[in-house]
Amino acid sequence: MGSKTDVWQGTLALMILKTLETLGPLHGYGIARRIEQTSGELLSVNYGTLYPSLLKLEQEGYISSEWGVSDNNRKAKFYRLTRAGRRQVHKETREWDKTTAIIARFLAPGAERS
Amino acid sequence: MLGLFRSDRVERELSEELESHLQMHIEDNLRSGMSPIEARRQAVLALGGIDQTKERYRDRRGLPRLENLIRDVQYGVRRLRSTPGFSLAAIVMVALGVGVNTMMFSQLYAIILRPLPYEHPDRLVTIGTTTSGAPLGPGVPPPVGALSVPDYEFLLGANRSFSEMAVNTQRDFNVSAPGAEPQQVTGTTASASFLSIFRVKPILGRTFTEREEREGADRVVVMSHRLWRQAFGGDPSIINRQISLNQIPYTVVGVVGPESMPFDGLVRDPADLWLPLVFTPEQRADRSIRPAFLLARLREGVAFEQARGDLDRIAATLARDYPATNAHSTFAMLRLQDAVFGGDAPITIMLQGAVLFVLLIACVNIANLLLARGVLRTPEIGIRLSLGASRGRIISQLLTENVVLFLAGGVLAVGVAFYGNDLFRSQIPFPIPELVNVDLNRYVLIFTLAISIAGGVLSGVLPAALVAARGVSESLKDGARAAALTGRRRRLSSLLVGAEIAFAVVLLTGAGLMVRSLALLQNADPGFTAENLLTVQVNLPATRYTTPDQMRAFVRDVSANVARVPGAAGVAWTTSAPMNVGAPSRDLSIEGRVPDDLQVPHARSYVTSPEYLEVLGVPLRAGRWLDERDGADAQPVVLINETMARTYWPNESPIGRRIRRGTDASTQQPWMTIVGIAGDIRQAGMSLRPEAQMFVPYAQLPRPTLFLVARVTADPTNAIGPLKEAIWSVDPQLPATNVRTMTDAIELDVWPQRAIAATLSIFSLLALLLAGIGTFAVVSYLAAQRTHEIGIRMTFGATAGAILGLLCRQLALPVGAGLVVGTMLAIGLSGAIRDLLYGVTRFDPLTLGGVLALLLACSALAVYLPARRAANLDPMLALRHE
Repeated sequence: MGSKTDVWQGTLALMILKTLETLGPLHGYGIARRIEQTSGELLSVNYGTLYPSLLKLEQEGYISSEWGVSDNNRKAKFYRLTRAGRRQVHKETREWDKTTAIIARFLAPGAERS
Repeated sequence: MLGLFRSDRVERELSEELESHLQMHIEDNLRSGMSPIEARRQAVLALGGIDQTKERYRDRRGLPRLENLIRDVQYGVRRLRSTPGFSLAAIVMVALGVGVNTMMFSQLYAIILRPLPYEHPDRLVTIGTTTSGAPLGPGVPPPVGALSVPDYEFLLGANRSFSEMAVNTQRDFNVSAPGAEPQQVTGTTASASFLSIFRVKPILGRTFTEREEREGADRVVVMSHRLWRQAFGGDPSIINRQISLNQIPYTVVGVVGPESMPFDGLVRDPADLWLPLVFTPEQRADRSIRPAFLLARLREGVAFEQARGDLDRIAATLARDYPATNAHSTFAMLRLQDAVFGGDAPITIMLQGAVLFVLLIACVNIANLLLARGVLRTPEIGIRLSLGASRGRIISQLLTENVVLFLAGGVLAVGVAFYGNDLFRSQIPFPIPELVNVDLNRYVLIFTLAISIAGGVLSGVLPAALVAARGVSESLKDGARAAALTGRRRRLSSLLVGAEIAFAVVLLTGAGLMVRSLALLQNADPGFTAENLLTVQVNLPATRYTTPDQMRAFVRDVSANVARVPGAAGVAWTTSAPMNVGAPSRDLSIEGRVPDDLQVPHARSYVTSPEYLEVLGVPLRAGRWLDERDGADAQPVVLINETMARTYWPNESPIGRRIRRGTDASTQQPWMTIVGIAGDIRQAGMSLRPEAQMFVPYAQLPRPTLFLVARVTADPTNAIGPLKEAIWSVDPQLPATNVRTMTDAIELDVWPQRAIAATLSIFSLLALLLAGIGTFAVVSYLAAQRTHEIGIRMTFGATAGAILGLLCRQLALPVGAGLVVGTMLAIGLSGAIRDLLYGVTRFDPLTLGGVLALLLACSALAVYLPARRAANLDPMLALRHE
């Protein structure tokens, strides 16, 4: 566990939204596992921080939730992207791309010089 | 709010959601080959703890504060009920501390903060003139003298800051009308704008107008509903009827209702009559005569300071144009509110400060109790911390508990204040309007609420922080006993004991100084024999007493009647009896001396019948009394007092010297020969230093304003009736007012000192009691914490005395420091009552020493009693104590 990186606060929301956009309605446990898997098990989600984030996104209107039944017949709460959420994914993705591009530009010349 | 009411369902759903999350994770873990126990452990670990997650979720969910607050309040109430002994003691302490504060604040509100009951009272101001260089006595508000009429008229035209201005003067009138008893009534003569500035609306008739501010048109009067009811039976036909004021007929044009009477309920003798003020041609022309008291209303949007600048500008113009009269004059402006209540404000603020100390001591006690209880609760808090509660949540929960306690105390405090005000009112010897109007209105209740919450937070924050600051494992691991002994907590306890002792020193010093002053004041020699002395005031109306002979005849005839009253031992007359405002001060010339402009000789000039000082029982120091020889046509003579003799003839005898009123060489005043020197008397008040006084024989200078002074052999109250009869048998239409015994008058004079001394004494005894209880509780607690240790020491041979010393030493430093700091604080803060002190300074060694001794004794007792109990324990019992 020690070598894994804890999820960067603030990016968790984007990861949740992107996961829901890719996979459709999903329950909390599924979201958490998906994030871990996508990161190639490099990220560890403290599942406990996931639920406040889900609540926050729901309060902001980007996702909605309803009770359903999971694959193995267990009652679970499913989260689904709303239309506003979909827009938010695109917006945040663009901003994220911009940010990483800027960061990359900062780091790149330094790497050349060394 | 929805988040709040839905909370139960949300909570349940979260539990279900987390449960399903865990189950799914466990199933996955099982599938990957973990044992069931390991599968669950890993799943819970990955979640980071169910309760922690729930706590984080709740914080996110919104309105957690409000919901937490409600839960904390419920919890607080449960805890208070679970420890009734502690709760009751604490609530009573809070009720007393907050109660006296509520009581004082209700008085402070009534005196200082209550807006005057007029439209936009914040814009009402009084304007006067001050002459630079005029001496200001200690605690005396700036001398706002009246204005000259030309200055007033110039101000009317030249100012840019005031929308309305009015002038007024106060006078007494003898009112008589057919079918009504003659009586003396306070009246206001004023410009018509005076009634409109207060928005006075008559319930009958009209108010007077500007057209009636002229000689000839001014015989109209508006009366109060009070006078109308009482003297005229509320007869509506009063309008347009004639009544006589000082024997001059006036037409009643209006009656003013209770809700719009200017100054009613705000000053001690409010007016019942309003009539047009007409200045004499002399007043209109002469800038050195200043008869006009000015009221004004600030124009909308004009700030107070702006108006002051405007007045300064106008004063500068006047000073330039009329240097002879106005060179040193400036205008002084006061808010009407401050002008009405200004005098009482410092005392009220001082008393409010005193009760704040009482509350502080109560807070310190509660803080100490919380510290002791915090120890017991350490394990509980440790568990809560480990279950995911943040430190902030723990602190705010402990604070909420304490605030709940203070609010419970605050509710009782309202009762304490109500009872306290009742008690206070019952002790007031005369109706002081602003104190009669004290009530527990919503502003006072808001104050009570505010200081209850503030007290709860203040006393709770340190103990709560200290308890919550302990680590989770530390709190859980240690038992209550080990946790109790941390040095930090013990130091805080000691510090708090020191603080409350310091506060108690401050209050006791204040009370001690006031009690000493009162005692000195009551034993002070007034300079005359006050017992069995009666005074009555009469004003001879100028319409019927037009010649000096008529006045002399009145005095002679009444004197003869009084002499026949059984038990009368002496009768005399004066223009001002002791314990009344002194006679006006007159500038004098001394024969043979070159006038010195910087130090003009002056003395208060009393006109008296020859026997006056002898009837009072004043000793003669030199020369002779005034007597029958000093008649109207005899050589003018004067008697002076010791202070005057000492001041103006320090190295010679004044007997036989001549003085006269006025400093102008061309004055027509006659020279008066000094025939004797009398002892000093306290004229205007017991605490005031005697001033230079001179006594002129009544026969030589008859005056219409008179006090009859009668000495009787028995109870003076029995003589009141016969005395009035003696006056009325000479003049049945003459009101006899202000009838009182001299002992009552002196009692009334020292009443402020007595009231403050009594109030401060009650407050400081309360403080002493609270501080004593607090110290006692802390020592008991410290001793109880060390019972085990004491047992060990005793088994190893420590004597009871050694144990006692051990415990006492622990408190010696904080008690000592509290006494020292408190004394310094007391000396500093006693400046607030400097003007009320008589015969002592705030450095009075007797008071300071007495307070220190008292506190030392009380704190020694509060330390010794619990320490002795600990020292006398059976060592075996002490050892087994856990």
